[in-house]
Amino acid sequence: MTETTISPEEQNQLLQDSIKVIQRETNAMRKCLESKGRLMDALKHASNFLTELRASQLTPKQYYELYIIVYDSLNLLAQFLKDNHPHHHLSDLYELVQYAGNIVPRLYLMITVGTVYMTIPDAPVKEIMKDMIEMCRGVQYPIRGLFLRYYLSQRTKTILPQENLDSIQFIITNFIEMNKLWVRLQHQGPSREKDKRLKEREELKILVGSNLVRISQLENYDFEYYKTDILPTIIEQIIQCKDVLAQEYLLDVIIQVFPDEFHLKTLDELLQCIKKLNPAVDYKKIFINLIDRLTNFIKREEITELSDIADFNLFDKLWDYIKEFELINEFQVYELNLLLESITKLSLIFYPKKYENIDLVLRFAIEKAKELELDEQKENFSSLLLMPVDNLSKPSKILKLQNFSELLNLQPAKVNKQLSLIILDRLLSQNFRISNLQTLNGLFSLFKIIINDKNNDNNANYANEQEKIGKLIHLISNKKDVTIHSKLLTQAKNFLNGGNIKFTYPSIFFNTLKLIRFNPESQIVNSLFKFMSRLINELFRIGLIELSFKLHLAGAQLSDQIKLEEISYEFFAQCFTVYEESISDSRLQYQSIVSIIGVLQQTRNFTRENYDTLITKTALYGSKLLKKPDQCRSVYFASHLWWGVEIPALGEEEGISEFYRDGKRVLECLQRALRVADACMDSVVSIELFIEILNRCLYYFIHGNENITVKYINGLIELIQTNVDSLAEENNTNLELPKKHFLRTLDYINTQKEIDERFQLISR
Amino acid sequence: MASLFFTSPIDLDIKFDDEESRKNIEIKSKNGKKDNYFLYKDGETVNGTVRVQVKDGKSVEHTGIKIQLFGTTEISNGQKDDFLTLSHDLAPPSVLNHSVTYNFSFKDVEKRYESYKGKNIIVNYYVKVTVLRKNSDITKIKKFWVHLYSNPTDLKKSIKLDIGIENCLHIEFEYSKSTYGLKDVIVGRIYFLLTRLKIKHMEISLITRETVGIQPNQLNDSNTIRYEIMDGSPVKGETIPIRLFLGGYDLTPTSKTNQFNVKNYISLVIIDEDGRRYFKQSEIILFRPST
Repeated sequence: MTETTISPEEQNQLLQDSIKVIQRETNAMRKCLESKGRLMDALKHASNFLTELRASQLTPKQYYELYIIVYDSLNLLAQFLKDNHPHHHLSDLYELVQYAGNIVPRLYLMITVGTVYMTIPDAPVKEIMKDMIEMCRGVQYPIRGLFLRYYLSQRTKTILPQENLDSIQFIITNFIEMNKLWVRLQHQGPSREKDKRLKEREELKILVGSNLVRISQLENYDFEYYKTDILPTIIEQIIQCKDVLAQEYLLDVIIQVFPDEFHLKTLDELLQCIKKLNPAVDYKKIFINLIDRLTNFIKREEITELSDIADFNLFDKLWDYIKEFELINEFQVYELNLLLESITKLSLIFYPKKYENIDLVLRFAIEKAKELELDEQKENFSSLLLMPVDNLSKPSKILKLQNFSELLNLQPAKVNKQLSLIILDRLLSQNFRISNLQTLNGLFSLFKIIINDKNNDNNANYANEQEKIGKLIHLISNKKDVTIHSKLLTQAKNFLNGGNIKFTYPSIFFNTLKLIRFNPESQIVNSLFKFMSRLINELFRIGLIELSFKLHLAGAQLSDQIKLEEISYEFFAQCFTVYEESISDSRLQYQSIVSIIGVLQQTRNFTRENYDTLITKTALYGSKLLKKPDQCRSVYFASHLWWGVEIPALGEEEGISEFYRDGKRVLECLQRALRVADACMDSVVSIELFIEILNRCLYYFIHGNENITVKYINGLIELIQTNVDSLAEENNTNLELPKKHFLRTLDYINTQKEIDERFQLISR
Repeated sequence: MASLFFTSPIDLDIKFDDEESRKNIEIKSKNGKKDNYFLYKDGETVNGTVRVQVKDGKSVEHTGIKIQLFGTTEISNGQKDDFLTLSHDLAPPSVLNHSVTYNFSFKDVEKRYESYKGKNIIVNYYVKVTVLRKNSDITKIKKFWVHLYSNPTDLKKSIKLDIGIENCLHIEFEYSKSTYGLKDVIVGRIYFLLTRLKIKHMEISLITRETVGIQPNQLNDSNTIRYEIMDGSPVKGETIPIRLFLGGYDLTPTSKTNQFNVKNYISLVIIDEDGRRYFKQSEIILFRPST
């Protein structure tokens, strides 16, 4: 255009001026319409305001603003003509308005009169329609032509004949012409304003698309006509116009506005069309829209019967197309990913059990992943991989996909891991068991990247992630067959030994432990214990002393419970070995002793001799601890080893069941503890320990250990009191806690006096 | 002229027969007023009455009374020409002392030209009654209007042209006919075979051209009606329709006489964005259809 570009201010001024003219002329027209016999003058004013639509320097938005005002003004005129038509012969009027010298006002008037004329009984509707649309060809200026034809479309909206196909041809013709004008707009003016025009066209697209919407709303036609006439005509126009924006937009409109059944049945046509588009068009987007639309259709209709749609062979058709499509295009990985994702989704929804479809897609992606470069941002197949996870009836069904894990493992490590974690989460949130080797192999190879992660990158969530594998291990279960269950565990161990066993072996260990607990009679119990032992040894070998110790202890406890004395003894022996040889931290030593005491005290199936050996050794270890308080406490705890009490879970009952008890040895332990306590340099600590020992004494007193006498208890109380008194002068604040402890203990004695008369004898 | 100085002793009044039923035509005169004339066609008899009224009791001597019918052309340079003169005597010399009414009749008058009022030439028809007297004649004239009707037979012949500017514009256009009645519609189409021109708009012009005399003293005048038929620039392959109703315009049929002719042209004008005009003019024949 040679039209010099003008500033936005000037443009706005032009707009305001035009609006004023339109308003003024509209008022004049209205006055003429209100007076008798002044129709010609009214038309003259209408022609005057229509002249403003000849503007060429406004933006599309501004032009639209004018159009809206003019539309309303012409509405007044149309309403008048409708109300007065017997007085004004509309056919004459239709001719009369054509004397207007300028084409734009002339055509607006023609359409205004013509569309009123069409509504009159016996009007030559078909001829009027044909004439109006033909005459509109005279406006070739894109924006003016687009709005003029939009006016034609708006005016005819409610009055097109319903009973024949002329109306459809009418709209299609209008659509084609509008599209041509719209496309042509792109090629006007200097090329440096290309983007600006693209933006303007974007604003105008709805004018063109509205025609397709109109067609879709008409009920004049059936599918056959759509397939043989409407669609081919529209498609031909779309292909011919070669314009990227038009092709992308219009195909999308087609996909969105026409019924899904139509799309299903015209898939070939649509696919052929996509193939012929301008190479710059974002094919995938269109294609994906199409697939998504079809996919959602099935969702909406809730078609469960495959037979309904099997005839279409939908997947194969689309898949062939994608392959072909891929040959002629160089895709980025992410583009391919989107494409494959959509077809996968379609297959999952349409053919939920056809895993081979998905495998086909995955195989294709695998080949591409090997060819192309993947990265951690978007050049990868993550959403494709998640598609089956989210859409299969159960996430675990992904194991039915043979190519899934291969593609997963081809992804960049970070992506692979992220995906694996997501998939793992989905699996864990679901109620299922790993009960056969196939599932186990499938899952554990799937999560290889998490399993084998040694946290070289210091990931803060590392423990959390490993814990998820632990949870997965706990899903291993086969209630019907112990052997299979054990094989599964062995196999899991094989998968895990390459990873960080610190986090994973304990889960296998406890899963095994549970298996034994529920199947104590099984013949393979022995080998299971050996398996456990191997696990512990491997952990020990990498320096996990404390863990090995605890696991040994757990093994000891369980084997005793199921009466495998020998094994249990061995586990205890292992505990002692670890203790002796490897646990050097004094605090840990003390804790270990306490743990052993706890377990040992509850064992029931050792011979007296073995038990004596074990408890004596334990007490001895306790007495050899470095710190006095630790020594003292270990020893008074060890006293319990000589005083078994009931375990209700085992059906034991005080007074009926027999327990291993030796009151004398208990007293010896307590006395020894007392000596150690007394030897402490810190008097406050001594006092605290005395009080603790007093509490032990009371416990045994209640439980009927006659070696613990009232006299002994009284002596202890006095000892404590004396020590407390002697320290009271020092005003030592540290003494507060032991004092309170002492008082609570004394209170307890007093309350016991009321229910147990033996307590009456205790002096305080 | 004499009548300006002397009061005429008699009044003359010309009346055509069937004035009540005869078709009237309204013609704009130079000063913007509208005059009404009775309408006649070629070969039609012009008859009527002349009433000679003598003023109160006077008697008027005359040497005869005659009635004439003239067809004249009058050119703006002052040149006048009677191409038609018919004359009848109404009464022999006598003395009039009362009013008399005479009938006149010009049988089957051949009227070669249409009445016409152009810029440079006027074609007039009138009847003139003259009372001949020794000193000054007393006359009275009455104009009438003539339309010539025709019904050409070669209406079907269309105008088809294929024109262009090399490597720039190539169009084909077609008007359905080359001969149109005055109430006809010009229908046609323009087909753009090639267009590299940035067209702003396209219009057709209807040109009526009056030519008087012969070179070198020829007088020309033309009158143009402009009608926009296309807005903007079309692309290759586009067809633009043409439709122009003629009935609403005041047009003159094509005519040709010894002294002058009126020709009609239709011109296709393309105006590009730089304001340059490209046009192609074709003559069309306009006629006045008899029905």
